[in-house]
Amino acid sequence: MPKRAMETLTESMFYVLMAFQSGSMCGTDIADFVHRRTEGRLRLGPATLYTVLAKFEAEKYIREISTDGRKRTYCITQKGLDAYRAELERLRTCLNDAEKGGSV
Amino acid sequence: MSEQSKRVYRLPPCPAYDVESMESWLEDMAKKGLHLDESDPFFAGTAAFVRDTPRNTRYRMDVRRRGKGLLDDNASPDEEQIALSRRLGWYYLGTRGNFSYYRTDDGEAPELNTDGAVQAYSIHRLEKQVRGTLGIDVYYGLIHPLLFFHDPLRASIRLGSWVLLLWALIFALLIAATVRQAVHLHRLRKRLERGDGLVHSGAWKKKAVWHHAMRGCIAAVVILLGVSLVVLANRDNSIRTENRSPLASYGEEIPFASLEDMFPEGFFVRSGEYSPLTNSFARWSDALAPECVDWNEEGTVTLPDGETFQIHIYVEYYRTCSPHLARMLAVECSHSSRYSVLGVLARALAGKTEDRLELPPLDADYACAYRDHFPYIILQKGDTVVCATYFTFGNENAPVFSYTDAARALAEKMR
Repeated sequence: MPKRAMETLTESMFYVLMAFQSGSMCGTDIADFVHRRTEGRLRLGPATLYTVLAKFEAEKYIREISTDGRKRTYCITQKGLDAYRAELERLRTCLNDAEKGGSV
Repeated sequence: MSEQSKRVYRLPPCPAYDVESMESWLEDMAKKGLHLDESDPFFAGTAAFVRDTPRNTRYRMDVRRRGKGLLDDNASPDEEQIALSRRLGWYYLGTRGNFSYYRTDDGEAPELNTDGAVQAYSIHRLEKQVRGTLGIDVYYGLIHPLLFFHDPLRASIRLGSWVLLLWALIFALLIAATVRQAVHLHRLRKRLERGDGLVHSGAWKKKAVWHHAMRGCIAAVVILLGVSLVVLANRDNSIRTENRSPLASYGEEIPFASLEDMFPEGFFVRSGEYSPLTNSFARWSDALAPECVDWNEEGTVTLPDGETFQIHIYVEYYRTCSPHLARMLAVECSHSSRYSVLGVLARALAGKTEDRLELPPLDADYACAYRDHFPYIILQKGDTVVCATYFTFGNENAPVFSYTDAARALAEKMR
């Protein structure tokens, strides 16, 4: 486990950033997206989801763009996009390493 | 939930920050048919329950978010989070301290926290907050008094050393509790970062005895302090009239030189005026100094050539528990300790020097004199300390009463 988890995104964090690739989202939208995309494999606990959103907002990976009643909508920033792409690349590298020599 | 259920109050068996113990305790209570009251789950340090059928309920705590406002350090969950939590089977109950409480009766509901590393973030934020609080506690409990208070020993003896001891004990307990909280949160965060989940077991039962005992001790100390402060309010010997008596009523031999001792017989006549600050004394005892006397004396001195002047002396007399303590008290009363650490630095930076006065050889273990408008004399012999200051008035042409004569008289009379 890394000393500071933001250096490597956890699965939950990765999927939250993935959700923002579809556009701006609120917490409920993100929870639904992750559930659909993973076909129910990954269910984000509500405390986990909102902690991730708070952390991403503090790290400027996302920013709040509107508040409509009880719904807060966020969009991803360039910094968040870069973090997502870096993690995606890391995961692809891991997969390529695993597939080398026909080991998979 | 039955509408006829009565509220049952219980003291939580563990600190508010002990997530595993709190969650385990609440779940065990649910198995006995006691469920946190949704309307007002916590009141005055107790948990409020309603009776219903026993159930396998899961209780979970979530660290409160950082608020958006300047003074809003810990916010309650917003409506969207509460609504999403409900959709996933979790009911928001309320907050206690730094945590929000949720429960679910749905065995299929996902955990409130599904990512340990993410939960470690929120614990880490709380940990940093607690460390900040610890810094403030240490500053106000330890550093601030050292920087700004210049006579803690004298203040202890005059106010009651047991009162200040209780204050010190409370601060020590406060700091210890904060350290314990910081250590607990640190260890919890490390376990979550390692991937170890929270453990829900009956371990809270073992902690309960210790926790309740500590709460009892703290409550006892706070009550004792409250009583002490009430007693103290009636005990300020230097000011309140009812604690002072006329000098004429001091029936025993005075343990230090009074004005009658400083002037040849017949040359000093004490004035008949009495007030809390004139011709009065206060006497009390403290654990650190079994005999203490505050002495205000005023009268008229008549010189051989017929000149007269008024003189007023103020004496603090302490017979302490030991010569070592007496020396500490004497040094504290001397000019060099008259200012706090910051005060001494400020004077040094401003180029102000101490207005020390030379003293002749005296029969005393410690002797110091300085001038601050009036002469101040501090003497220590064995376990006894005498601090005296005086001023003359009524005749501008009268010769100055020598402070060295006053110091000799005081030293000779000291036991």
